[in-house]
Amino acid sequence: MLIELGQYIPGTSSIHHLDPRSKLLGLLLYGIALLAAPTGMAASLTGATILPVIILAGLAPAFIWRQLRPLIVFLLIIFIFQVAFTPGEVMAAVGPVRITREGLNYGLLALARVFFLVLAAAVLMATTDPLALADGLERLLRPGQRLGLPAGELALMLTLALRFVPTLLEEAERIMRAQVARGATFQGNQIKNLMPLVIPLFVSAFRRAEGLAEAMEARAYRGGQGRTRMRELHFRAADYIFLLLAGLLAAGSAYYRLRFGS
Amino acid sequence: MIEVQGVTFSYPGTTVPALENISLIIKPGEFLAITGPNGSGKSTLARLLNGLLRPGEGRVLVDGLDTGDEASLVDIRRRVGMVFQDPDNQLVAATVEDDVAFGLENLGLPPAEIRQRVAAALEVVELANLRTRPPHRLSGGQKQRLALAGVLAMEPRYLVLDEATAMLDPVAREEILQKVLELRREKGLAVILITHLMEEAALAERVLVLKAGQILLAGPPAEVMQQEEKLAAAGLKVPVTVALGKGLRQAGLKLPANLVTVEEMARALWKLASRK
Amino acid sequence: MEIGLQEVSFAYQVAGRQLPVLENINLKVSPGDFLAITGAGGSGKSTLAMLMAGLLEPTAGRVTLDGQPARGRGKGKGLAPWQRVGMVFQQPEQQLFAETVAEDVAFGPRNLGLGGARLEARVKAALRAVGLDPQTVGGRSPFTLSGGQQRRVAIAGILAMEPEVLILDEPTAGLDPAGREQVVNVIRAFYRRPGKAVVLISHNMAEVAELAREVIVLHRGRVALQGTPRDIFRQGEALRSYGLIPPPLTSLMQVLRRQGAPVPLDVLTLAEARDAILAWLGV
Repeated sequence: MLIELGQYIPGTSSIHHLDPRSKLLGLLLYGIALLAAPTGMAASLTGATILPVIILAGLAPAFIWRQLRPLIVFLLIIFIFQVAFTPGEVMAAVGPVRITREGLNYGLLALARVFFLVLAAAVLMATTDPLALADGLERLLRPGQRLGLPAGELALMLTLALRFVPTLLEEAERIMRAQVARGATFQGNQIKNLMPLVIPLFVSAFRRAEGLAEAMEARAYRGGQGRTRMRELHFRAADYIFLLLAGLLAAGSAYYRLRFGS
Repeated sequence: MIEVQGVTFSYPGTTVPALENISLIIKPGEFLAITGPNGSGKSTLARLLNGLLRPGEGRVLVDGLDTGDEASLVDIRRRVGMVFQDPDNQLVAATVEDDVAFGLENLGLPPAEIRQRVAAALEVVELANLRTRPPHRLSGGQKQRLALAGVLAMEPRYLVLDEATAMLDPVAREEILQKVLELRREKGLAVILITHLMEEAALAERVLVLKAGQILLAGPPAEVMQQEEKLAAAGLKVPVTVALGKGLRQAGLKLPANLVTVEEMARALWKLASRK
Repeated sequence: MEIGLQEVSFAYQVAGRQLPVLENINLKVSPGDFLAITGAGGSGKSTLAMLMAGLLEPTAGRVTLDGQPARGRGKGKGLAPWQRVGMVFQQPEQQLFAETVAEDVAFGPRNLGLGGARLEARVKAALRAVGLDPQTVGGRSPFTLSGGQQRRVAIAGILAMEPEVLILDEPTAGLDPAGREQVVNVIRAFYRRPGKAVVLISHNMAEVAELAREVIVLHRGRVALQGTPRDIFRQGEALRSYGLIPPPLTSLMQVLRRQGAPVPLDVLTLAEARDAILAWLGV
């Protein structure tokens, strides 16, 4: 069981070295630029600005392909749906299905938005240590704390998930083997057949959560308030340049939409 | 000093108290073992010492701070460090060093000091070279050493080990115990060892035996281990050296009754041998 | 039922690299055997247990059942012969899942196709074999029992499948002395029945000394020592180099011997230790 999407590839590239906050903000601005782009062509050109980032990060095309492969079918469905069901100027007809100019445009627009957004998120995760990502997220959300947003707790939940997913996977494998030793086959698609695996996992996760809460309390945890962090984050010149470029992209895209968009 | 004063504790929804009228003083730098069968209340007592549980009756004072006082809890938990039984449930971060930092972050220390204390604690438990490793890729013994480092970094005065060695193999168990005893010698840390292994309890200066929520026996190991019948009734076994000593005395050897460890037994036997 | 391993090796594939766990293991377990496999953490004990139970397949060499080559358990891959090999995992109480103790114990035999009165008889016998009363405990939820009782229920779940070979991985780890003794008694009682064999994976040398007829010491995935418990304990200080800590009686003998006393190293019981010391002191 290997989930490739969102895998971190340690490295020393200039993209790896960017502050996680700038990368998160960069992704946000890039997303705004994609959404603002009014036409399929504009969205594709906007999206293509990720290419220099990929090259700078030194990510292999094969890696990128593996990240996006699970998405292909989904993207095709979106594309075909848009192409086939948008009314407008008919360019070609296949049986009862009419392909319109507008359909092609919207199809490309939807395709480009989803494709490039997922690609950018994959690049972010591939070049950023998950822990740094959690830290960056916490730091960005911190102003929201005054509005009651539990930034510290959210970041902690993220790190706990990172910590416990491998442990629970190992446990799932062990329990599965133990039940196979008792003659279980886990065949058929009845939920009942999965109970010997699901219930012990559930019981164990619950027990772990209890133990964990206790251990955290014993180590003086009392919520996000008053906590400091070992890891410090620093903006460098490269971060400002990166954010400036991302900002320009978003602003440019928005301007184009207001000026020429529908 | 930790003072347990007439403490009774019941878990919600139960009628029989888990601990009944327990009084106990733990001095700074002391090595106390608390033993008893499962369900005797040892882990409950451990959790009362750092305010994870608050007494129903009576009170617990840690260096004068009452565990019932919400405002003192952070200070109490800094003073009373605790290592739990299951290594997997007490490591919270995705790397070794982040885990050690967790408690220090909770104390609100400045980042530079956290880094320095984390490095020092990892050095002590000999995990400095695994700094960036995720905890799930450590062995059981390494995980417990990591848990110990997380507690040590907070510079506690009392260290509670709640069956912290029960899931370990004997070599890892010995490593942890040696490390803890070394820390006690060097830093004057008090050690409170919760265990159901009498061989482990025998290493302490003082042993407390619990049975059904009450103190059955208390005293130096050599005295407590003589009470073979009482211990057996509580489902505990005397260390095999004590049983051997008894057998040898019955066979006519003039051995003293206070032999508990292998070393003490060997020394006493040589004394007999040299007299011949 | 005889389990044989011939030149068995096992390696995990991690990121395209081979991580060897076991190398060139040869062993045989026949009816009437009580084999203990011991070694430090990471020596490959648990992996060996899973190979012997057909839950892993070797990367080299072969596993035989009654002399016939056997693939691992699994979809249609000849589950039948493996039915006679029972495996109790570490902390087996974690695999409990059913609403009642009796239902949980019935899970294994039901998977073997048993039902009705025969199934019920199996469940009752298995619960009695682990010292639990089917009348009082059978209808309760396993999650309301104590840790030691849960472990015995889990062992009953394997016994109910009536294996001929019982493989147990650290069956007493984490139990208090009373719980430990109950589990040891269950293992003893199983072994006393004719035609049965036991494979005990344990790092507890006192337990190994007490129970096993033959011992294999694994060290870094290879067989470092093999022999009777006496053969093994006679190695004295060498045991430590394999990451094993001898039981207290053996330690005492080692200390006395190091200081010049002519006592044997291979004492297994309290009585033997007492007699050895009395003989040395000439009483």
